[in-house]
Amino acid sequence: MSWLDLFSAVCLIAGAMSCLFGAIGLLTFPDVAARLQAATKPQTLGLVLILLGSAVHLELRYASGLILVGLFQALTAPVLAQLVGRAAYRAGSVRHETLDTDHLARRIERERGGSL
Amino acid sequence: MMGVVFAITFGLLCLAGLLSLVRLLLGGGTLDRIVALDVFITLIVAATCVGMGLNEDGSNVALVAAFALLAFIGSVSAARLVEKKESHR
Amino acid sequence: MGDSEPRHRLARSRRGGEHVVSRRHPFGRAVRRLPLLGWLLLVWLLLWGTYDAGTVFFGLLVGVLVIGFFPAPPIATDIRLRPFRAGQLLLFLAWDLVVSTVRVAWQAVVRGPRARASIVAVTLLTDSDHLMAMVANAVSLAPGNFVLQIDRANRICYVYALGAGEHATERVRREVLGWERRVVRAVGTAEQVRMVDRNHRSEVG
Repeated sequence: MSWLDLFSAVCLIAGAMSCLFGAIGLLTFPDVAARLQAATKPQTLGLVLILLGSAVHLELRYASGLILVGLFQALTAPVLAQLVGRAAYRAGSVRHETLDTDHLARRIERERGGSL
Repeated sequence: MMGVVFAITFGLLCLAGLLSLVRLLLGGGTLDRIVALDVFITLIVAATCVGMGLNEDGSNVALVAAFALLAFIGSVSAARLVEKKESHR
Repeated sequence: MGDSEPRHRLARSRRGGEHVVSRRHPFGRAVRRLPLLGWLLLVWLLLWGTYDAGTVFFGLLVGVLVIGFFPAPPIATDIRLRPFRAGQLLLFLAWDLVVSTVRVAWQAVVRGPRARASIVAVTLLTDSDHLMAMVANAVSLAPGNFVLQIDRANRICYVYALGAGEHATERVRREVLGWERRVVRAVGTAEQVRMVDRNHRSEVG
């Protein structure tokens, strides 16, 4: 087992563990907003680690495509989180009893008052 | 030795996929399902990449990249649709 | 680079808070599309994995066709890339991603359904579409936070953060402004860097 294989093994297992914890979070968190946290961060890290671990076994010309996959994930995950988070808030799927401070609610309250 | 590593990785990814499928079925709301489906697709992408590493053949990498992007576009359109529906109510 | 022209345009577009790009110079418009073309070419090359003249040629051809057929709305940008600082930013992001993964995993296993959160409004210092998008993306990868809603006109980010109380509000605000500082130092103009540094000093001192 060479150093490269060891590196790949560590990356693959750590990445898969990260993905697994993300999925656990997806299952246990109370509302969409908290589940989004689990869906974005551990998944992104997990995928990037797995890509690293796999890229070691591939030729360079294919490994470059894997960089692209990781880049797409890192760029798109926050965008998706923002879109879904906003939609969830507007749809009332964020549980208000889990919130301590909510500046957005005050803002929306004000906007409604202004538009009427 | 690497075979064991690949087997463990596949096992963990399958478990994660199973958990996200449970969330997909339980739901809680359309948005929960969208998030769960996105996670599931990410896991498929990850597993495909592991498979490429295992076979040492990456000729399908462009397909995987396209798949990852399509998943993003799908999730975004679905989320926007949900938002639009809610704001019309 | 024609430096005076863009600065003039910026000064004008600042007024309404809206970034309006002048349509007077078709050549200038083509030059502004160059970064987009470069990015498309990079994606093309990475997809093919071969770096010869033919691939570059067809990549450019496809890029030009894509830009021609699907014109993106022209957005004025005032980004100056500082490679060293940008590298630092990427390292910070990677480290934050690891920390946030560990923290989210811990919360998922230990707290689970009893997790608590806040939504905090943070007003950014800088007024630029690209910087704001980058700050929002960076914050969304940071531990326990993501940006729920952006009020572009008033430069306000509404950040959803795990954690609770007045204490958390202040922490989130500091974190977001810290990210803004890092992003601005990596890609902002000299003027913007001075602004965030001044703010940072007044907060600390």
